Amino acid sequence: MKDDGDKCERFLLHLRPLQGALEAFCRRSVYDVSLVEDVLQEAVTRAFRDFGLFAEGTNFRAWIFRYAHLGILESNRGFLTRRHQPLEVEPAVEDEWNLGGDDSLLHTLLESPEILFEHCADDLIHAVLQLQPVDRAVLLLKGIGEFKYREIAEIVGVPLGTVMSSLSRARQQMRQALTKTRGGQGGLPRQTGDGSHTNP
Amino acid sequence: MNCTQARQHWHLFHDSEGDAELHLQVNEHLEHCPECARWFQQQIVLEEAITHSLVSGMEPTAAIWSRIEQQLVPPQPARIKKWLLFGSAALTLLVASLLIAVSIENSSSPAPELAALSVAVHDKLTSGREEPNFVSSSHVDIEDYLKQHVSFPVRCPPREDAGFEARGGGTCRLANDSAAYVVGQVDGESVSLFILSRDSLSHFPELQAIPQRQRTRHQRHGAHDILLMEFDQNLVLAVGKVRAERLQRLLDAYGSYPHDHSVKSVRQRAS
Ligand SMILES: [Zn+2]
Ligand SMILES: [Zn+2]
Repeated sequence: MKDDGDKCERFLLHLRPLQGALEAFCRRSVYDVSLVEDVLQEAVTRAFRDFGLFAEGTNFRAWIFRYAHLGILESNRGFLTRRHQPLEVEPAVEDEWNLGGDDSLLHTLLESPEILFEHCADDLIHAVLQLQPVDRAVLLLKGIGEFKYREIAEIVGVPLGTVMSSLSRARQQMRQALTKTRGGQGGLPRQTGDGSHTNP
Repeated sequence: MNCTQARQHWHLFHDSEGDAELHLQVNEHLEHCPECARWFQQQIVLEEAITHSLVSGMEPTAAIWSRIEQQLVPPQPARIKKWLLFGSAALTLLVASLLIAVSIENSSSPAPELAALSVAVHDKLTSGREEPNFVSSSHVDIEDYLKQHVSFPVRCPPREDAGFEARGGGTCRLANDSAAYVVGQVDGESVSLFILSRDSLSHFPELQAIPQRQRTRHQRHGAHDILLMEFDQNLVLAVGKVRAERLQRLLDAYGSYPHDHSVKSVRQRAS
């Protein structure tokens, strides 16, 4: 009983500072918004069950994000199966940044990023959901979790080289989403559920 | 390294990945190539704006996490046992603190739990990952906000004359207790003040081991200093990467002002 209590307290001590990041990671990744809490609940419960295997002093952050990542994959697979939607294969993106041409966008951004993003935040959130699962995970783990490439490779379970190419591709696609006008593409998974992230 | 090579390595450079030699070469190129320097700067602005728009406004949903935690937490007896353990720990601490000269520098530590939790919130607020609930430089307005948002009494936060420039305030949870916080700067360094109900003492059994005569206690957590004090109906923590004496000055100022809000803060009068 005492051990259970200690285990729980130690676990929560590690977990609490990460709750915001874990939730943000799920919110930006899960296709069906109504499942965010379930995914978090399941991931945390599994991690707690395995907490005995976690070595104190090692990387708890990376350790628990792996559970969240696996939970997200599982939930999204279920969503696609229910919708009979295959995972779309994104067209290959050339390596060069093609933003250089759009000087007006860049100018607006440099002047006052917040003004542009008031209008583009929804597009960006939608664009993240359109990324390939690994690309999305890598982008969000970098942006939200502030993980190093090596940690991301461990969490996602891919080689370091894949992390780098995924990140490059994901960033490129986010930029393309910014320069695109809304509503051009349909058919890819969008978040459903409470509707807060669903485009009209 | 030419322009194409430099730009190809932008990700590694931006993410502080890759080896030192690469960073050296990129830096060298940027020093001599204003066009690439400008290009790199633009990439950073854009990338940070994108990340910000994905992350902003995302705070943990208290209801969700309390449900998740409830599924994990076993019934309470564990706490009581821990308490008993602390009985003997308290005695050891008392003896130890009698031996050590009465100085805030080396006194016994507050609960590591509370220290770690408050530092985590402090980091979130000062790294820009989260904005205070209420942004204001007026201690009067912050105090009013806090009084409306927590159930326990809150006294006047420190003012400019204590060397404190307020940036905002809000509420948060530290373990199962609600807390008010005030964030601001001291000597250009970010400092947070956390104010809890004095009743919260009983929820952190470790804290009950504080010898009564010693009101202030000091701990380091990573690069942060933490001072803790019981004051009137509050438990007050000051957290920051500043000298403990500066934090002590804030704690001394907390609640020490006469409650006359007709005198606005120095900054407000000046502008
Ligand atoms: Zn160049
Ligand atoms: Zn006041």
